[in-house]
Amino acid sequence: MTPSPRLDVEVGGIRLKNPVILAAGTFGYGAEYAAPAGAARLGAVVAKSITPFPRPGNPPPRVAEMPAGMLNSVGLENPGLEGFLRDELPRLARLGPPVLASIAGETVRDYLYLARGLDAAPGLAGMEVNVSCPNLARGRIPFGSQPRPLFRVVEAVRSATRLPVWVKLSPNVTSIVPLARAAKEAGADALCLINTLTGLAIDIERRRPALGAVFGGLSGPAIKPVALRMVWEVAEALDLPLVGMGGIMDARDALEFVMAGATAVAVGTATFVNPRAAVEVLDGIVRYLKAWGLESVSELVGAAHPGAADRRPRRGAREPRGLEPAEEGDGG
Amino acid sequence: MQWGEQAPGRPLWRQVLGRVLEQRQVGPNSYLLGLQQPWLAEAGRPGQFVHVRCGQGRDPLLRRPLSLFGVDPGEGRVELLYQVVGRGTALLSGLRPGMDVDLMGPLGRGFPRPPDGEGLCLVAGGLGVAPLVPAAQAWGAGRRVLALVGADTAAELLPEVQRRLVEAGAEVQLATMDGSRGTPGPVTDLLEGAIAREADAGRTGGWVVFACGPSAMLRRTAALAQSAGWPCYLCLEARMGCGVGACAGCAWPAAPDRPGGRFVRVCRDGPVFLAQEVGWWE
Repeated sequence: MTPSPRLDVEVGGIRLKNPVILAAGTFGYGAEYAAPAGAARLGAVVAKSITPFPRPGNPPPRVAEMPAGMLNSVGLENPGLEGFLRDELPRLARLGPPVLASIAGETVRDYLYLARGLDAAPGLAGMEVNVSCPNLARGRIPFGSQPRPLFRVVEAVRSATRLPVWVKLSPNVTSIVPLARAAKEAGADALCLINTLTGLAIDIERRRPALGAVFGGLSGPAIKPVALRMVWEVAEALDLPLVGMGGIMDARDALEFVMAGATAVAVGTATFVNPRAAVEVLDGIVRYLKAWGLESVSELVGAAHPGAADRRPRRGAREPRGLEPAEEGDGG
Repeated sequence: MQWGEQAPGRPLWRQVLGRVLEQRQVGPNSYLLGLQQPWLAEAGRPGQFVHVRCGQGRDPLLRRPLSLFGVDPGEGRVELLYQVVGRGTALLSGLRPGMDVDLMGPLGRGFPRPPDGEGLCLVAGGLGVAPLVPAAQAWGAGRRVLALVGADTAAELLPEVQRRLVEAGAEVQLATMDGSRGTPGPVTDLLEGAIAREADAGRTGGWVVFACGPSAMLRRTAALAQSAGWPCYLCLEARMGCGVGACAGCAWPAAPDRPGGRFVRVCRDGPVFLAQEVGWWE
């Protein structure tokens, strides 16, 4: 019997017992999925994004199914900072894994307010900065789509808290690396890639957009290749822990992100499809590590990059048994 | 069919496999799926739903919410009634006896038990009849049940549904939009007639309305019931992501004067709402 491989990783100042995280917005605040999703076994949970004050969210319809994906325009429905601290965080903290709050705002002051308000919150391990919301001061262009506004938001959050700060990058940019660099220079401890891709669907029977808010964020297997490419690019360009996400449905997907350069991975939309998706990802990673005789999941981080050729299986090495087969017709 | 009462508070759901016992076409595009699933048969209540994974792959991706149509706790059997409207339900219709389906449930807040002695008036539009048949079965004994069942055409009025309503002791009245069977016009015309007859007889109350169907039909039903002073419960349908209240995807406008937010979540706060709890859109 080979010893169990090491799963623990450190991501931007937070020690995780394993690299599998429940992604923001897909887990609510923990009440709905805690037991069925096996949340206690996971590396960390990121709460649904909060804004300084409660937001009702966008008009319905808010979800539309896409080929191998989901378009949503929930619109940051959330109970606000006070409601989160009072009603949601205590329950999340009882789950066991480190809890990160996800913060979103329309002005730099919003982010500052949230970071200050959360800095001393009991049971909070860190913050994930959601920069995909419209910037009211700049014609509603999202903070995360230009380096300078992104820098200012991250710098503000950094100045207001001693907690680890992860920045979740938006993929809706021409080039991801300048954004990643701006977040790093502003003091981010880790980067999360990617948020949803902005998209549109039209209902041709009703002759209007399928979503009440017109545009929505695309998630699910459909976006995985884009997410992987961005993780890869950022891993090549700078040295900072990355959390990979975007369409992860199973351990194969998760391992692709790890090999592209992610230290940890987050499972989001897959939880809707299969509440046990995240724990199944974890179990699949363990099977892979054992099957290949690896001592630690960290050995695989960035393993697919050219510079890591020494970490690849030797030519002619046979793939070990015990892995789940690749899915037929896998759109991802 | 034996239906229990729903306990207060959030329902306890499980992710389970159901073994297909029966797949039977009951209408032009409609199917009855019988499943061996003892937990759902035991725990399911009228108006609750299950979130069904259609197929094994990644496309179509999301589950489909389907009302519980029948339960038999003794046999551990549940039934779903569905219409093939897209790729997900088309995959469901390909299931054959012996195959397994991945289900989450029972989910949501179902219908409440109507007060003893009160008449139960069911108003169904199209496949909206699916969650109403259980209400007749659960609470039909010892009370008058009037089932008003509407559809676009005669072919869409399912004999299987009418048989079950009659077995549950309901008086069934039919309406079709094209006039091919029953009263021509919307099913809400039948409700208007029923309310008028009660008024003519000098009775003003004594009925509870349970309705399910298209949004415009529900809105009209709620207005008629309100003018008659009959309490009215609506079973809403919405596109869902998670089905358990986590994603906030199935938002529906709350009634304007309702405390606690501008939207309700159909999956968790409903799918059954008192008509006064919800507002309308479009």
